[in-house]
Amino acid sequence: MAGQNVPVVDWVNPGALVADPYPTYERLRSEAPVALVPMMNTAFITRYQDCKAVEADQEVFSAMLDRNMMHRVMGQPTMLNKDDPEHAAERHPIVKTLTMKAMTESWTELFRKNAQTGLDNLIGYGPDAADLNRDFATPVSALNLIGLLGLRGVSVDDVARWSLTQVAGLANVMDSAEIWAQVDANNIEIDAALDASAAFLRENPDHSMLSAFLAAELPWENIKANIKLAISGGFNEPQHAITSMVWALSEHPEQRAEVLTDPALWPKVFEETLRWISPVGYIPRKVLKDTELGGYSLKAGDVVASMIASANRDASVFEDADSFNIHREGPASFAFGSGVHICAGMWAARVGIGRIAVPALYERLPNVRSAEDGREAKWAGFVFRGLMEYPVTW
Amino acid sequence: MPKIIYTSPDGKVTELEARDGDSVMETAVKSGVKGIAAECGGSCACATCHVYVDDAFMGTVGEPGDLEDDMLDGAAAERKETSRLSCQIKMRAELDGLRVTIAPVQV
Repeated sequence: MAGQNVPVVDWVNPGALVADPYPTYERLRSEAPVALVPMMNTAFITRYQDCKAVEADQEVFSAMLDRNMMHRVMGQPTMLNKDDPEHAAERHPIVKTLTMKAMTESWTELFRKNAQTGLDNLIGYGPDAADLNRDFATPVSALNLIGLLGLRGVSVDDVARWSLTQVAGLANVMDSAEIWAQVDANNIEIDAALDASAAFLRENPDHSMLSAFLAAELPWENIKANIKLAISGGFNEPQHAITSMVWALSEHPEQRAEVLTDPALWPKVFEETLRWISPVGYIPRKVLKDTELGGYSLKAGDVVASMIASANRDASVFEDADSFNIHREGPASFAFGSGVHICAGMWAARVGIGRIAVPALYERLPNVRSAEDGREAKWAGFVFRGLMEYPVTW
Repeated sequence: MPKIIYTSPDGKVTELEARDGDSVMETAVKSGVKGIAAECGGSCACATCHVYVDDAFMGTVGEPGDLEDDMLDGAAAERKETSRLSCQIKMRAELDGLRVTIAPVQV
């Protein structure tokens, strides 16, 4: 295939990416929109249209990566690391569970209740000590997920601990034996909870994902892996969505005043926040046959990454892309990905977080905002990005 | 090239010529027709390209497949008998003049 060779960029620095990936992405988009990053042996794809093209073509860009932390963390490949038709067979059973209509009809009541539980917890810490991540985003995200998955006898702390260990495993590029031991112990705990939950749901089927997987009679090992995937994607990201929304509105008081006057704007706040600070940073894919992308040639066997967070700041697609603007027009953001692997939980997040949890927070505490007493917000990550600590006041 | 006539939720009518084999969704998105979000890019995975097909074309357009059927059940706007996901309707000569109304909400 014609096309330039993919340049090797030696200046991409992991520390800088974790601290703030956006300056690196801006430079990559302008100098080398398809660039091999040696530390990850992966070609970063940083422009919106190229990312979209990768996600649209699973015959060239496969989800089946050879060497993948996910297999180890989830126990075996999940639907996220399979192409169709195998991927579709695992995804189809939960489609009805996770649609927009299912969210509004079957889950709204639980999401509202969980938001109030989170609020009571947050308020209990008081405006001088509350941390929005620890005291609100954590319980709300965990309780919503426990419900959606159909888990029985599982606590907020269990979900938080499982997710943290999974994230450590997914980031274990240094192959630390200690981290793998934690991941294995974690999976024994999760498996026990899934066995108990499934025993109940077989007798008492409901609207949950686990119930839907059981009804579809997928192999049990396969169900367990996909539920682990849902734990990893269904807790950390909604948590980040909540805190990032509040942070974005704290930084933009004029837009915050608008949404408090007109609550119909909440879905726009949600979408714009996820564009501006995308909770999932990238999606890896394996090139199956020689191809050309954005003027660069890629070879069969290459590993590429659609850099979601970068695509969402591409100024050729989003005008004044670095600004937070809830009135932005234009294409859908790339925050949930695109193509067959588009986030299955996107409606759960849009409804549970964007339309219920965060609006409920402001309804009870209209003045909630970043703390102004020297307690600092701590951002981190580029694989997953969000606030690890977020002191707030009201 | 077969024509498609879109009616947007705000009542605006747009007439476009489609390439054979392109979907009703792709044709709209390429020309910036408003109201079709098409977040998954045509993979039948998001139900954000929901349209109502004109009665006269229902027989030619045909029934949704299994996955599309499930996605339509969960779409944000009301599902009607004429509901289809526009990414799943591929244009061909016999669909020339196809009229679709874009669902009022997609997300």
